[in-house]
Amino acid sequence: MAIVNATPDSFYDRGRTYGVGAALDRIDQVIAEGAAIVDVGGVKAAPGGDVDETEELRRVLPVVEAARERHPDVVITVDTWRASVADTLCAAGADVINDSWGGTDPDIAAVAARHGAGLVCAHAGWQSPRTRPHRVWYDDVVAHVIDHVVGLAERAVAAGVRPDGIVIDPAHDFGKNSRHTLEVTRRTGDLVATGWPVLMAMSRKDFVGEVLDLPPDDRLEGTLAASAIAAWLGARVFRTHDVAATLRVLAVVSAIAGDADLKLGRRGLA
Amino acid sequence: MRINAVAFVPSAPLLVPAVAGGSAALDDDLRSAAVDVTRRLHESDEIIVAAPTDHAGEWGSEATWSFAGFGVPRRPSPAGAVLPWSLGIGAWLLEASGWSGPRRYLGIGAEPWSTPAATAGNVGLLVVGDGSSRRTEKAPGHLDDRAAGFDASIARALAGGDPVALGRIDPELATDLMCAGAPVWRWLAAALGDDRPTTADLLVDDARYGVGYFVAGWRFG
Repeated sequence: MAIVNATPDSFYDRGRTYGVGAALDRIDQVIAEGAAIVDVGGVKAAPGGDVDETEELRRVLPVVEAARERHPDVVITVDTWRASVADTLCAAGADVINDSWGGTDPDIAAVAARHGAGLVCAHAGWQSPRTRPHRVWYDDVVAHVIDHVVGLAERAVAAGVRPDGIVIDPAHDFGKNSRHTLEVTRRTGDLVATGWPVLMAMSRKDFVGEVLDLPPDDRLEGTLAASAIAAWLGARVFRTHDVAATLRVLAVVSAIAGDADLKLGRRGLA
Repeated sequence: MRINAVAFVPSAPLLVPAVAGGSAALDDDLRSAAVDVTRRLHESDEIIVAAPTDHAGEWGSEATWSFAGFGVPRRPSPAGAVLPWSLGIGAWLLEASGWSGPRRYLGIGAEPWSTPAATAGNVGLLVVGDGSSRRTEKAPGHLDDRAAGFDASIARALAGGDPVALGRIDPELATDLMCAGAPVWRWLAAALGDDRPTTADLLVDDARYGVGYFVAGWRFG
């Protein structure tokens, strides 16, 4: 899942793909690199200037419309917490709603159901969208995450969302300090054991930055290490800024796991 | 309750080195100031730690701290009840300052507040709480333009030994500004009644991570 930020101010790319042309170039590039999913978002996660529904749609809708036309077969997800925005974007061809703030808008599952769209059920500890975690305490963070995301997934099914379109996402760093996020990653197997496909959104995030004391530009290796571990433990979808590198890591993990064969089988075999 | 000294310290979990991890040394100055002002309470017969908590409660000397809910491994088999983390910071400071005398822990929940049972002798109060968490763009609660002025008035009250000003903190504004210290400071003002400190000094007044940190000491009589 390739991150496509239709934002001027997201933490890593800082507006590099802002504007319809730049976003479409990015989409063409990540699809060429092998991304199966493109995730388009119009509001950065961190607090800052207000982005209302009109502005969010102004940023995202033309990107989704054009991407749908250019790439009929790619899965398009839209990163939004607003049911009304998701409604418009699904009508324009989005396949999945990536509700990364964890169900703060109670109508979002009904929107997914109405359009036959998928839904990402995430955990942000019931924090309001675009707020930072502050002294958050969990008796058992993984139990909290599982209760939350499975609860959202079951509610989504009850609301009529197609069960094969639901994935769960522990939402690294959202509503969590770095130790919480590391524990969630360490116990990926517990999330996988719920039976729902697991999405990991770890790319260049602060938990990697705090392990290494490095800024976003220098967090690729740390992200890939976390991705390899999560893949080994059974996570299925990886939301990333770095498609080619992530796919190489996942290919090697799959080969070690015995799930994928060699691309070349000559060494010692000629 | 005869209060002879009050120490004000932040309620930042990162004061505790095990919580701060590899960056603990960066805040040694803040930690040392908090430990130093806690040590001033050692002249008291008993120390009461007061901190904001979700629910009011009182714990005795046997209670211990744990920061497991922040993801920090629990110390080997803690004996006694585990304190809410804000009181745990106070307990850690008592330990770091070398206090082994009697202590109690008061969790200050919502009003109305109960007054702790009076004991013979002088009581030192360790008051755990901080100012607005919205002092800067990178602050936990992002920037609120009212935060600087709000915290400046708290700093003035602490530096001037003015419990009346602490008692007048607007609870709604404090909530808006994510000020964790407001309930405990307002409780302190009520607990002091007409008592006024004879000396007051403010050792730390900064917002290095966007949260208003204060370290201050008051002495009575």
